[in-house]
Amino acid sequence: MKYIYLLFFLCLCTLEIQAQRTLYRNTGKDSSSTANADSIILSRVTSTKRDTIGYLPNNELFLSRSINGAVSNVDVGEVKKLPYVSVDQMLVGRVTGVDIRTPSAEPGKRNSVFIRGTSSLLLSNRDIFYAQPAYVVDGVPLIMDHAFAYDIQRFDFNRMGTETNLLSFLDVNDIERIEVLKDFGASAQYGPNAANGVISITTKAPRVGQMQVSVNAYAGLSLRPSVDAVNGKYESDFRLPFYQKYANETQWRSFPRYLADSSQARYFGPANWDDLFLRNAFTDGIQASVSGGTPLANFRFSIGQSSQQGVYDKTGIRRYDVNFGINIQPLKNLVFTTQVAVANLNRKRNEFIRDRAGDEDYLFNYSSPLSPNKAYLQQYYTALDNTINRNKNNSARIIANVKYSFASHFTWNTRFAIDYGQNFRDYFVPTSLGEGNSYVSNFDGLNKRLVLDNSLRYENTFSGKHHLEVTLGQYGQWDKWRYDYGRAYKGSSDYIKIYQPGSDDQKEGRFGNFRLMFNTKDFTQSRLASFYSNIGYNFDGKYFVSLYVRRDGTSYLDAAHRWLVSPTVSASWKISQEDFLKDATWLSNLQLRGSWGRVGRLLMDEFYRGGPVYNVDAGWNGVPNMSTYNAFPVINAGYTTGYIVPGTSWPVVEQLNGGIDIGLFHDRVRASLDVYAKTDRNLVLKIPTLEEEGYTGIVKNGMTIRNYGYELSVEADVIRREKFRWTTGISAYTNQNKLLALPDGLTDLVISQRRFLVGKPTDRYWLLINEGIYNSDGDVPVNPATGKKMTYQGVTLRKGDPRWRDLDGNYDINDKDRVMKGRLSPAVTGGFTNTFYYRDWELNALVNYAFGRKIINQALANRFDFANREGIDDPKAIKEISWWSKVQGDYSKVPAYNPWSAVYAYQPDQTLFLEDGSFVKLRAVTLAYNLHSAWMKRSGIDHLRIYATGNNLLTWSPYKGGDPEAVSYFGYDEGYYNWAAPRTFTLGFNFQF
Amino acid sequence: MKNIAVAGMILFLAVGMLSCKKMLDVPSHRALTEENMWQTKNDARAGLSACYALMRAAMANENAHWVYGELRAGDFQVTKRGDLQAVVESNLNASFSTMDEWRDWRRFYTAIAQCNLTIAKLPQVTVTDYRYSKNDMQLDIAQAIYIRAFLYYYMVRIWGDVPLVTAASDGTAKSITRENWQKVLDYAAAEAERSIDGLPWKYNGKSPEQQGDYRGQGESHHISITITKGMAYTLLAHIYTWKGQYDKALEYANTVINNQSNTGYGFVSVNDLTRLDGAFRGRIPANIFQIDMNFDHAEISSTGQLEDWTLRDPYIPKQESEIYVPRDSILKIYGEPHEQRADYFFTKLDDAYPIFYKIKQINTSVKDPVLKMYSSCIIVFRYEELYLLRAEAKARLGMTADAQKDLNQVRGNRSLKAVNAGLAGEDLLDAILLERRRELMGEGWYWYDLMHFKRIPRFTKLTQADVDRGVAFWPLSQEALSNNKSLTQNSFWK
Repeated sequence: MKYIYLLFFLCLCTLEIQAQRTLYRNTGKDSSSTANADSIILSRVTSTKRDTIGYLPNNELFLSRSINGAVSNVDVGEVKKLPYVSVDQMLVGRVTGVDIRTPSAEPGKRNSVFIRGTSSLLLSNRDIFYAQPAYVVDGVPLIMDHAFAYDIQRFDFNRMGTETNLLSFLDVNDIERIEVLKDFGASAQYGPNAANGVISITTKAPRVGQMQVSVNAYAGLSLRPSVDAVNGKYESDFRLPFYQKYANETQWRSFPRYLADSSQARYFGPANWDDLFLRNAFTDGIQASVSGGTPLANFRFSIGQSSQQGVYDKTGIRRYDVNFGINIQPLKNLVFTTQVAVANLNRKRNEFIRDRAGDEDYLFNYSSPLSPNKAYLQQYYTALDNTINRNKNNSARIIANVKYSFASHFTWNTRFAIDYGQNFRDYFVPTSLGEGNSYVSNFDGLNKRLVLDNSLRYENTFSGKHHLEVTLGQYGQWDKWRYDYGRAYKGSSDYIKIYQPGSDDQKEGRFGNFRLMFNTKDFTQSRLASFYSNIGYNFDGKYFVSLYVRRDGTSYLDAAHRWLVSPTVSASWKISQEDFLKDATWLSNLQLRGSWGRVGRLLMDEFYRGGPVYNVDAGWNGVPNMSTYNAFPVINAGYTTGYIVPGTSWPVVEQLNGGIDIGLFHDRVRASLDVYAKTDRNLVLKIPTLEEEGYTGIVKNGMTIRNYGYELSVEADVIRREKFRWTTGISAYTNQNKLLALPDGLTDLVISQRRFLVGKPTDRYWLLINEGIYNSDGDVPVNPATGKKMTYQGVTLRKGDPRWRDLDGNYDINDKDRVMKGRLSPAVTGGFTNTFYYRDWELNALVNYAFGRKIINQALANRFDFANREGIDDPKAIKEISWWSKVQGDYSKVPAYNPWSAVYAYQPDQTLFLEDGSFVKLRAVTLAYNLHSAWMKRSGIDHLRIYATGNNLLTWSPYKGGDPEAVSYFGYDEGYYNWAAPRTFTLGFNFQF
Repeated sequence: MKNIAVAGMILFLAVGMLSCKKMLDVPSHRALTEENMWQTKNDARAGLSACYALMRAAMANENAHWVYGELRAGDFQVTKRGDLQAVVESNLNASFSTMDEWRDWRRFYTAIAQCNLTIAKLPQVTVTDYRYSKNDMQLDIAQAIYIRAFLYYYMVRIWGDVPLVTAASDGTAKSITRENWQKVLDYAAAEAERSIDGLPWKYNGKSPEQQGDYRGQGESHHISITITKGMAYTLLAHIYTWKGQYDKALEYANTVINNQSNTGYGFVSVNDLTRLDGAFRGRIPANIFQIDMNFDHAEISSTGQLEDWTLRDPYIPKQESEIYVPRDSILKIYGEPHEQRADYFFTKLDDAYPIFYKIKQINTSVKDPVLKMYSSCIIVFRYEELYLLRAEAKARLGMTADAQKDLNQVRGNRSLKAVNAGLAGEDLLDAILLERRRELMGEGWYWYDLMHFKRIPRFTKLTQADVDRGVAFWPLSQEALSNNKSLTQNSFWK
């Protein structure tokens, strides 16, 4: 279909161009005799207002944004100075309505952003993918990675491939504007892409004027963090009291060998592993751009490079990017805009043993950890040098836009865009790291999105006061995700690092035996077809109303259910424009806004189209990909996927938003308040079903989740003198979350150790309540009715077991005695900024905060749970090198339970490990100096600025377990798997001539 | 100009409307929907293979086969894993994620659901694919029926009363109650009986039930794996033994043994039993029914085989095995003169943790150094086991001499001298039990043997009172109980 569109439009264009050309020649001739060439060209063009200010906006894909919407802006000038490699990091503390979770400070690694709460249940990494906002660049929603690669993975660690944050493709120096579009008044025009909110990024477009070159560069240093390195003595001292108190003979016998012999320097020598693991890391970037031209043809070209090293484990990311944009007005009222952005990311990843196990899908023997001593550890790092761990992402984004204005009130706009991403990973583990077996894998992934949009707009102002705007349009989006993946074990030599195992005829190939290889391809495509119309009306710049109606069709649903009509209405009243306020000097701006809208939510997978599905799923724990029996292929009903009830329909998001914007004393004080209620309805959920029917669940529509809250920001120019200015601003964002309904009228659901109760929030932990310890068997209460002692899930409690509160008084501690407690997303977050200007100096400080947030200190729980984590065939037995550091936490409050007890005494899900994760952080300080001198003017230099920044400078938090931001998406502090962001200092300049 | 544009717009929208259907009707590449399944012979066969594969998944998951059949009996001791220790101590309510898996029967019901579905759907394939003859269909259905019957037999031994689900699911059921285990076994027996007519003795293409190459493969590909009459009769003998109907058990055991010319079944030497590519690769006449794993088919894994728990240095890179048989037990169990099995079944006897060395299918391609990709099959029934079963049936029916003859046959094969001719009654049963323990150690029988020989209090730390209260059965998982409100927990574990 897209070809038909294209073809048709090309014909249309050609026709018009020819028609116009004749028109032109005539007028041209008339004036050529009197004026110089430049002015002739200019005189032919009726520039729109925006053209004259220099930028020809790229963002004409749908509609210009309605002023009725709730939008949060990022001060791009400020974030530009800071060494952020991805857009999401720039939002922290600078916008409202956004919750950014960064489990690890590994440079360039995927992380997540939630706008106005989470609208689905977050249980695994897959769910994180489904909850991400759309990143719209110049009106084109970017295609992100698809979670489907997790289908063949045994562990829920990293997604296969590079796990690189695709937002790192964008260079901040190419960005003009970053806006968070929160309500549907602002974002409905993006249709189902807007279900999780939109982060709209406008890039710098070509500009009209003299050629201008700008160069931006910075260099900096991230400081090596300090760790409390320990050796075998510490660990042995930690464990011995537990052994002395509780261990029986068998348990004594399995006391770890590496801790048993204190004469061994390998484990009992000096703990100085951190010298090899941590470093001071460099970060730098340079970007240059050139732009200029006439209104008839203008361009912008930029090229950039930036790199960031991690302080941990020699990680890092490097980006190269090239952007080119060109605008042409070949004839009056016709504008062609083309933009091409190409970028490449290269990421050096961590070397976690756990992640290697996840990649290899193979668990090694973990009974002897790495040595904490540099002398022995060096060997391991030498072996690591022989690994290959190449992670490369390429991206190409092409936008072509044609806009034609005719008959004075009509504008036709057609846009075609491609967003294309490649994801390559080559991975090789030499024999020295694989118990004598090498391993190789290659991942080749592709994401592709085509977008085609046509719209016709009618715009007119009647009687000078009634402004009407009507738009009709259609939109098509073709998405495709694909990957090829192969892995093989046991290569013939460490020098052979390519994936080429044997075949049926020749079993031993270049790499190894073909039975030890595993190949998979996966492919999915999603299409979206939409028709939309918008009627916008405003009276005299005072009253604005708009009605946006959209009809979306998705290829992920069957023909009977695939279409959805979704309306959005929005209105605003600029009270300050009213006559009775026009003269008020104290009030410069007062605006009320309101919107209600409904938007469809695209499903994540193509399973939902024809009722129950069949797939290949005949493995067991640890063997996710068994696909044959006795060499015959297997196809089974989708027991793990769940029974998909026929007739799945669109989930929708409804959102009500009210806002007020105030400006006082000539906008010296500016404030904005938004109140919202966002309700996700008809969400698809797998609910548990009778195990006796074989399925793990029934998949159907029917879940409703509401998020509601408010966002407030106040900004004031406290001092506004000629030489000195001080601006201060504070923002706050709250979000409450409530589960309103579950499918089938269920009211109570337990999935993956989390409980979901209708009427309660979905982001609570589910915990047992600690009340101490049973110091003797005699302490354990006896049920007077039965004479039996208190049990934990049927197991009698004994000396050394936790004293958990028996809520239902039945003398058995079980899931019914758990309480939903502790928010994992903050109750209030926000930022506090102060900017000082003195002559040519500029100082900015950003503090951001989060209150009312809880963390489970799982790292601490795991340290105490050593008995269940030693030498077993499970990832939890893995001890990374950072295991040789003191786990941060409040040890004094943890009782000495019996770690061998069958009641899982040190389970993380108990109130013992729940801690307050509130924090206040001095996030960033920047100091800039703008040079002004006569010399600069003479040399044609427009602008020269030098600046210094400090990032992640100070943290205040009651949390005892380290950086309160470095926790998993699900609120668990996994210790050394969650790297804290380092302190970073940079120096840089902007130069424009 | 205006007209052109308006006309263009209208045309656009029209074209758009027409082609939307085409744009949005994208076939799925990832999942098969109901309308596309059960169309061809390949669908039918893939669906049947899923019955086998899901049965394997249920039995191999977290080594369930040995956890249920072996560990609780106590011959194997645990080095350090708390969950296994809890099983050995019959502390089955203990809180471990693996324990949740073992308590849970969902995987068994998944395999049963696939059988129910296959049995219901196969007839329609004969309509849509002419290559799929009625004969083909009957043979395939008979296999699915057998697997379902076998799974019910298997589950009854673990949980006692279990829900009896015999029809394909439509996702709407809200509750299913547990059925008396006797009735479940009656059903299993009737079904096993029903499957016999459709099954061949061998997949050699020479019987009316199965002609030509089955699924393009000759007899050697199917032996011990694809369901035959012999397996069905053997299953019936086991079902009736569990029910205590020894006359019937004997009748079916006799049917198998008397049809040796049809089945080709035979005994296996202790060397062939334990060697690499021996009985635990299988596909040999000694294995009546095996759940297959095979290196050559890349059906290999690092979990789900007993090796993963019993081997250690120097055979695999692991300092301590998870479970072991203590030296004293070995000497006691294999204490008879001329006993060779201890030498074949164990190694490193002088270490603190001797290695159980009976099962060790580490293909040469994954050796030196070892990549833990095991390929041993699960032997469900083998000829020695059937002989001992028949010996038991005979002993129960008072046919002492005949029972001794069967027992001595197995003992003789292992170079043990014949039992004392005066041995009878309970003593003879003891001798049969002990022989089963010696011969079948590590094959997932001993706990079930203790159960139905009623020897739990004598051979384990559990008391008769425990047994009377139902300690022998496993508790149901919390998940099963909470999803199906009409289930009740097994009495001992309430």
